[in-house]
Amino acid sequence: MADIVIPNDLWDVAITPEGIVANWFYADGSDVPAGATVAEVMAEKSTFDIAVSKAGHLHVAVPKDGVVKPGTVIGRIDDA
Amino acid sequence: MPEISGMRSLVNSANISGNSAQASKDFKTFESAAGGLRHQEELLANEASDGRQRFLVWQAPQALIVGPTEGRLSNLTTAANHLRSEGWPVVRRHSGGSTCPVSSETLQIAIARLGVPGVTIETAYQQLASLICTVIRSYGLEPAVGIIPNSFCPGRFDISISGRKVAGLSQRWHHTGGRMIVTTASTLIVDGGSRYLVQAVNLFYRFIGKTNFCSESAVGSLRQSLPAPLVGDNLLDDVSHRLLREWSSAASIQTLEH
Repeated sequence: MADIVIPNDLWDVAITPEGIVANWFYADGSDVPAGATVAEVMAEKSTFDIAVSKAGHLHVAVPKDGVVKPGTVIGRIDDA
Repeated sequence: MPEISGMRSLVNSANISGNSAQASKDFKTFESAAGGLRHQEELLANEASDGRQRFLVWQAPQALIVGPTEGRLSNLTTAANHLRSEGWPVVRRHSGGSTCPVSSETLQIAIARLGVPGVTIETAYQQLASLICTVIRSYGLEPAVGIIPNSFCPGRFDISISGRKVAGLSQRWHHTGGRMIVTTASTLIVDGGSRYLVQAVNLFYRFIGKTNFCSESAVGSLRQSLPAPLVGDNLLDDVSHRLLREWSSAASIQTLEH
């Protein structure tokens, strides 16, 4: 099992308190391949691809348009 | 009176050789904004995956470039058809923010680099904003960085002169080939007036049902800010030249520091 996390230092929360999950490219519960870009996060007029390093079963923790910050776990990958 | 160079031809691709702090620069003119954006988002990003920073200045005919959120609106196609009939093709981009106009009087500027430790959204914005501000100062003007409300695509790294936005920045962190490529891009309004750009954005907003329109007084151009006509006036060429030169200068400093 692996958490899907927004990198801790991606943006400065003192300046920009939050971003959003702009899109999920795979549905909750679907199987995703290793290296796939599974979601897109948006903050400060920046879009950020969230990719997974291993293949597995996707569980979405923060839905589309959900509010996030660096370090937020937005989902997880369970072993296929 | 600030002088500009008589050089009309622009610098072609050039590599600064030496060591890991290499960077390349390029100017291109595209037949369409869609073509320019495709080059910026795909080719530039692919090239940057080798570890070298890439710098691109490009120019294209007028278009409206919409960000991801507006690009997913259900009525986008209808709105785009209306705008196309008014002479404004609508193109979708991957970087964040809202709708931004481009034209033959604006320059598109982009830096692509690997997203390595130490590179953050903030540092990537600062890199491009600093470069653009340095060029604006070379004309004897004093730019400010900060959000300009009621401008199109407002953001914390808006670049303004006397309270009027002349440049906006956006970013894309793209995971490709196992690497993260960070592309920071800007539209710099160089020549002509800015009213027609604002009007195009507001027309688009009307068609997609938005009610918070842009204000013409919030947007300007480099041309409007200059105190007097320039000697040998070809402002777009001159700004491009200065941008490329400033990039080379910054890259050389990086090379020396390594």
